[in-house]
Amino acid sequence: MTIPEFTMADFWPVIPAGILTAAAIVLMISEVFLGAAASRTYQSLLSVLACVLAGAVALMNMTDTPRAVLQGYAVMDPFSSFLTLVVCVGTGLAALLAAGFLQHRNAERGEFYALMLFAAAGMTLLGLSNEFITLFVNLEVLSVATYALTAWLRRGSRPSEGAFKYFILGAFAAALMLYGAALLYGATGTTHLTDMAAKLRAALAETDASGGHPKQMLIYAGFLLVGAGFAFKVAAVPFHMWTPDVYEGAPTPVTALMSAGVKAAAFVALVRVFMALGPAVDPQLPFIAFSVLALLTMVVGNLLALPQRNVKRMLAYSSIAHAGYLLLGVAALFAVGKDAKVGVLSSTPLVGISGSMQSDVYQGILFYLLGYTVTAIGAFGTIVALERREDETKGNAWDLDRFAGLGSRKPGWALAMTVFMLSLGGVPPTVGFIGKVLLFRAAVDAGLLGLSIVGMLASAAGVYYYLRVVVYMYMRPAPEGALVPERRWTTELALVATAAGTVLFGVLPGPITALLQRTDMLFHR
Amino acid sequence: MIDCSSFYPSTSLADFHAQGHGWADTLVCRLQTAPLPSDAAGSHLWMIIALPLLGAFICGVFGKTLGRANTYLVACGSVAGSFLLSLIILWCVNDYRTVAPNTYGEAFHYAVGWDYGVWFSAGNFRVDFGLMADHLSTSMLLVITGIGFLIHLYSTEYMAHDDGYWRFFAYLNLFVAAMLTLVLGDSLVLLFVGWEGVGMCSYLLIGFWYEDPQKAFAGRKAFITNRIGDFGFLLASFLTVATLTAFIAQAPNDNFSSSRDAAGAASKFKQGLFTRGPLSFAALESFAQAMPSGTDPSRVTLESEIATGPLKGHTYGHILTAILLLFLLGAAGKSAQIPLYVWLPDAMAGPTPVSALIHAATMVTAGVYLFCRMSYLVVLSPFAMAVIAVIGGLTALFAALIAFSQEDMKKVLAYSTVSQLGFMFMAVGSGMFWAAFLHVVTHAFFKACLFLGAGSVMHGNADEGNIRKLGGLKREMKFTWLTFAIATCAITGVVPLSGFFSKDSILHGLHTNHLEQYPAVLHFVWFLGLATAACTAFYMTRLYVLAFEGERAKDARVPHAHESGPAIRLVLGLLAFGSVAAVAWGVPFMDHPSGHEAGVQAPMENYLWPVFNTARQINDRTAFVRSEGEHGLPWGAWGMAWGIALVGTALAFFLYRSFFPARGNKPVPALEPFRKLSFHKFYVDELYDLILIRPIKFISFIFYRVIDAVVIDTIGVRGTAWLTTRFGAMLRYAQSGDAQSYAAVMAVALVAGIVLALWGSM
Amino acid sequence: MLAAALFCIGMLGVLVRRNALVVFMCIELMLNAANLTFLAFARDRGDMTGHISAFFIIAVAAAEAAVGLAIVIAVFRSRGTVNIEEIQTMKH
Repeated sequence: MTIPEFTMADFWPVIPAGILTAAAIVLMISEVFLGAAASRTYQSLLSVLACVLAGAVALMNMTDTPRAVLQGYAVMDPFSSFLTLVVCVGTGLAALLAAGFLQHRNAERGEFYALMLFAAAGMTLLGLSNEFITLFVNLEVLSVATYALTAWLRRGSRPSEGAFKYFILGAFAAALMLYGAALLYGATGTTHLTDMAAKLRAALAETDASGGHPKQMLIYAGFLLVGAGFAFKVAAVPFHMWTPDVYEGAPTPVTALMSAGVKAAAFVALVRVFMALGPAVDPQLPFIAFSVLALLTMVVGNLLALPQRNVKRMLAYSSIAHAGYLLLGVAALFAVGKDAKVGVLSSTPLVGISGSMQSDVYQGILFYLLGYTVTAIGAFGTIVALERREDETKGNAWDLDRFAGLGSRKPGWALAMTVFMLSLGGVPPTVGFIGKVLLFRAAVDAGLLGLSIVGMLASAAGVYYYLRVVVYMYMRPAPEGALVPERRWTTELALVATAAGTVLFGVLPGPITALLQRTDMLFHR
Repeated sequence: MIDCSSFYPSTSLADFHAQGHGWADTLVCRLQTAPLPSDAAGSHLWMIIALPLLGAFICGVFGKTLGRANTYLVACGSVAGSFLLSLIILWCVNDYRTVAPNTYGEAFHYAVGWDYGVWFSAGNFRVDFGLMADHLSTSMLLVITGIGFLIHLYSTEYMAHDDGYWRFFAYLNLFVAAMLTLVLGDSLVLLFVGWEGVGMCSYLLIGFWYEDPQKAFAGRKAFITNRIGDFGFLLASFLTVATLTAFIAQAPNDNFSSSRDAAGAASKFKQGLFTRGPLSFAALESFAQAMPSGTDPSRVTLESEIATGPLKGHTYGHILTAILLLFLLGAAGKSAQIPLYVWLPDAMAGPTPVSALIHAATMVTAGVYLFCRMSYLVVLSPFAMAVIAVIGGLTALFAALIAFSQEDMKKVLAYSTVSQLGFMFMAVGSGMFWAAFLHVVTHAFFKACLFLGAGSVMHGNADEGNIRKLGGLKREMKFTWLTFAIATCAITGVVPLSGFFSKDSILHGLHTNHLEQYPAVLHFVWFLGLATAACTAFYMTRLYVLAFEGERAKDARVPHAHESGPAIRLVLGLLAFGSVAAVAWGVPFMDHPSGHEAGVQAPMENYLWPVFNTARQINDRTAFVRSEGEHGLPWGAWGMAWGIALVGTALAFFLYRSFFPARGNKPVPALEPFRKLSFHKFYVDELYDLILIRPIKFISFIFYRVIDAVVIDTIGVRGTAWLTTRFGAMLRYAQSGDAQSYAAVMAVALVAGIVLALWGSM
Repeated sequence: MLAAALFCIGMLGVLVRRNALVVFMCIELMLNAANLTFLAFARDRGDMTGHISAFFIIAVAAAEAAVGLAIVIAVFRSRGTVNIEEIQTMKH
């Protein structure tokens, strides 16, 4: 048995995860030496610092050559590096939000931030996993950390109920995925995605004595089981049903992290797995599957959000809807693959225009992920700023009425929330608009005209419930005796950062798109 | 005609005088010579937008602390600043030597523009942040900032008693900034940013006085209809990208043979697409120029099928028609055309200056601007032109009929706006872009004047807007009366005023132009236009008579109206003056510049010549629109138009002034002899009521109640909202809260997936 | 085959059992079914990957069990029952 040799080049992609883990360990150890009454604001800042460092490394990695590292167990490409960046942005902001949230509830402990950072490390590693077991382990690292975070608050029945549902269903989905991976392993004898793609084709072509395909059943079942596991993580309809309950039950900063980081990581892993295996199995199947998922997710997510008066729950459904738009992008990837047969992606490039449609879609997806992360965390951050501990058990802590008259009580918060709502609705000049333009344009170009029309109509319907929040804030008088929670500088800093990011990336998306465009090979296979 | 070619900077002033030119010539030539180099003017275009944006920021953030006077100063000052800058731009673009760079082909003359670099990009899709002002945008700039400034000024008095003044001015300034972005943007994306921005500001301003719960629904209606429109707009833009991408992959150099160096033009176009993206107007213009009609094996034509990409198999002509119809959907949402017009009358819930600025003068004309901007695409699709014209015609007549039965001053004016916008769409549909735009300008003056007059009336009558409860204001609000009367004459089409010429140039165009493939359409629309002109005269006169003439109504809210203050009067005076003076744009007295056409043209047509030149060239080639008019002044048509207006006016005057039942049997002094003569006066009264007022009211009632209220309002707007909400609520119950049923749903979906996959692969 | 049967039993258990702890056990059953599958295929092919995978999965399952049990205890503390039908205050 030989010990494989690794060079520094192998470790660059895992450095962000290393930084995050190291910070988490420091936080856990330091907690031991603290008394119950000690100030713990430094913990939040330390987490933010770790995220900034990790993000900076990820940014450096963006420009590095895409390659397989760690003996092919992981890949380093701009796709995963950008995910790391998104995750770091999301985790840092969520940690900032958490400080105020936890202090208000006397629940601030180093372990909370440590769990957040562990989850973040899992997310970044998930993005670069190129092998099923690595993928599964990282998925579980992030899942187990988020299960625990969801149950962090012990007061009231909601957190534990949310955590329980998340755990039961999450573990169920993980088991489905693992079983799918086992079946695929059975068919090919490898767990490496790159090898598997090649062997799948051969395995499918095998015929037995009666002329049937013995492994076909195995492969299709495995393929769909893996798909179901991912569909759960990204909250695609009909695997979405946990989302609203868990989002509502979890502490709001954790909800923010879940809606942004977890989802982004799952999307990146999903794209990686299915872009590797999909075309090998059957170019039509993933296209049809993702189209159906996208269609259902966009429509059902928006429809379910419409009647919600509970803003936190509404944002949960809205996050489902946004997963739908992203799935539209994923479906477009396979539509492009399908068209490849007739020569769109063939060796003759489009005249005068470099790059391919596929990289348009990748860029669209990544940009959308970043935009959604910033916006969603901001939106949940406003909820963090507004909610009060006393209301939680009554169950109306997040009612629309809480937002009534916010425009005159807290103009700054109201303005920030307006920006987030506009961005989620895809109204210019916010990052949500640019994201939607890039994504839908790429989808239309890939030929998904019908699905894009549905998506645009669904998002048009979506603006309705986003704007309702704005209407409540500016056009309804504040209820009598409404208390405004005290201001906390960490929360407000996060709000300012997200609001500024939402507008700035909306007005000047150039640097981001340029970053995404710099590399010819965005995605390493 | 003065030859300015030797004027400064090429020669010194002394030499110029030595050539025999006097000071008058110097002045004229000075005005025709740009004060700034093209680059300098172009690269500072952003300041026009930035000023009101800054104003909005200051008013919104510091308005409360700054106090009223300072807020007014900032708000009005920023718009005034933009107006001055726009004047400088106007000065620049009047010079032939002023050029805007064009990445896709030959530079544009009579325009300034600047590309501020990449805005965002993904793969082969790129959008630059570029601004451009040509004659079309510049006129819009002047309308927006000029009339916008006047309305800001008016608002300082109108909102004097409102505590939310700072919020109001912040929104108003923000609106101006968004509208300026809309007209200055040189790409569809930037235009859309402005498009959404004005919609958002309009939404905020409609709901400005939020105490009234009724207004929530008004806002929602505006919201739903505009979203439908936006959806059309976005989809059209995406299709445009796909079409251009396919075209560039497919078109041979022969397509560009209209320019001297076909291969060079082709490669420049391709290079332009590569460096600046497919959504800028310059790209669309080059595309339209390179797209011939008919069948020609050596080129890609409208009849050719698209060879690559998602639109494969459809012909370019069909796709273009689809794109234009989707843009029509977008324009119909913004410019209140059938079937998306319903929000505009409800939008009158907002403060009156807002109605004047947003819902009459500027925002609602965005749809017309969009089509004028893309005139070269419009002329490529005769079917889309026919649809646009018919939609415009139907909207115009329909809204005018509804206006008959409205009792609220602002509602009458709102329907009138819808109707006038219909006129503009008719003009676009007949290829008379300049006439459409002339009507935009003149309409901006007189409709703003009318709205602000209505606001002044409401201001002086304790917010009473019901015309039955007004009356006799002629004596009590002399200045408002005078300006309102002038503006009424203008919109009605009384001869020397601006409305006559703009409306008549549209009707004249409808009469003389024919769509080659749909010969009867424009003729039909022409009849619609004539009928609408008569109706316009009727309802405007009715409004005027009921509000200003006769005796003061008995159930008026206050016994005596008071005239408004100096700011309001100044603005009304200036706008009334504008409604008269704008006539200078409309009287046809200039020669055609190229000289190859006989007859005369209006200054507006001459002025917009460079903008619509491409469309004209394309039409010369395709001959989709044929013009067969007499070349002299259209005296006959003028006479008819005036006659029609006169009949409508007289009829309304007669009916409402003499025999209006609601005023009781009080005789009007001027008609005493006539009353004495008609012995059976009472029967006449009833006869009129029976044969004229009743049927008219009935038709109007049908349109208003049945179609407007039931079909569009209830089924269209409420129905959509109800259905989606109900559907959402139904789905909600699937969310039982039980973890196991969630898992079961997942399992069922999974099994279904596996079964389908295996079944599909068998 | 055995693994598939085990997996299906686990899945059914998750879907129908009422006691949260039993549901939890059924999930473990599913994970172990996957484990068994890995091992069976690995043995069939004479490949080490499957064996190693099994170890990883066991480790992960243990971590999951720890957190899961803690959550079940938290649920029991807050409402005094582990009947899955009673854990549904958040819905619609």
